[in-house]
Amino acid sequence: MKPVNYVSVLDSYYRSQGFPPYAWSVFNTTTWTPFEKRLDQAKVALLCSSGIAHRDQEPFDPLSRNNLSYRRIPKDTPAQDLVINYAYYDHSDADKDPNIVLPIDRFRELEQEGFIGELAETCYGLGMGRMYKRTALQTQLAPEIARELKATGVDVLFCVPA
Amino acid sequence: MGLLSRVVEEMGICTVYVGSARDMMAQVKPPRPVFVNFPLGHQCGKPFDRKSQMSIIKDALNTLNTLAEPGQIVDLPHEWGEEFTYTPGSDGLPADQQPPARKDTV
Repeated sequence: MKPVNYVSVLDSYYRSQGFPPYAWSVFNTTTWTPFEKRLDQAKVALLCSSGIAHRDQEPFDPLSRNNLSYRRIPKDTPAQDLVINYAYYDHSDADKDPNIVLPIDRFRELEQEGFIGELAETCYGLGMGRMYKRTALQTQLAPEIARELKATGVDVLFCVPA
Repeated sequence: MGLLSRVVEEMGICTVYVGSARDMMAQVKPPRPVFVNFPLGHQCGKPFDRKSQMSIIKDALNTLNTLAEPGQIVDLPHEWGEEFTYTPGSDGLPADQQPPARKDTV
């Protein structure tokens, strides 16, 4: 099937609620770091923005907005110990099997079978919610995570938006 | 999230971005966008289907070696198996309890 048109659906939804059009970020070019390692020697970290955290951690507010906090989830966490608190998508399937948004069990298996060199010690769970503070996202949150990844020798960040 | 991956990549870490909203990905242009044509919330496969999950993840990771052009969307061949749509307000909350949309405050 053809991809769903999320942008136009959301635009008309916002309009129907009487709000001005959402100012989408649109770019013609991207950023780039060449991948110069072999996958089976690379250290990979996981990041998911679906309001996901370890069950012992402070849960995200499902209705959060502009939430720039994140949870550090240890790599040995079984997926079944992850919980999702998020009102912005239907996560009923991911509640049952969180691997479909934060595939932590799968990545431990990939490490074991040698497909990747290593899964990083820490996975990142974000729960930004509706995000209107893009400058803070780009100048605080993202650089903070990037610095942490660098300090821990991570080569690749596997991002799952939700 | 696309913005985050752009910044992380700019700071020297390679990123792979596995998403199910193709039109949003095309706008924000993360460095290595991988499109999975599944309903939102299933970017890495179907629940308890280890085989489909592994296949999507490996395909996505392989773009690190194969992506021809930065920002070019890679369309994975995986099929959900039935038609699906997206309705805002169908994400677990009735429409009148949805948080209001607001204009970007930069």
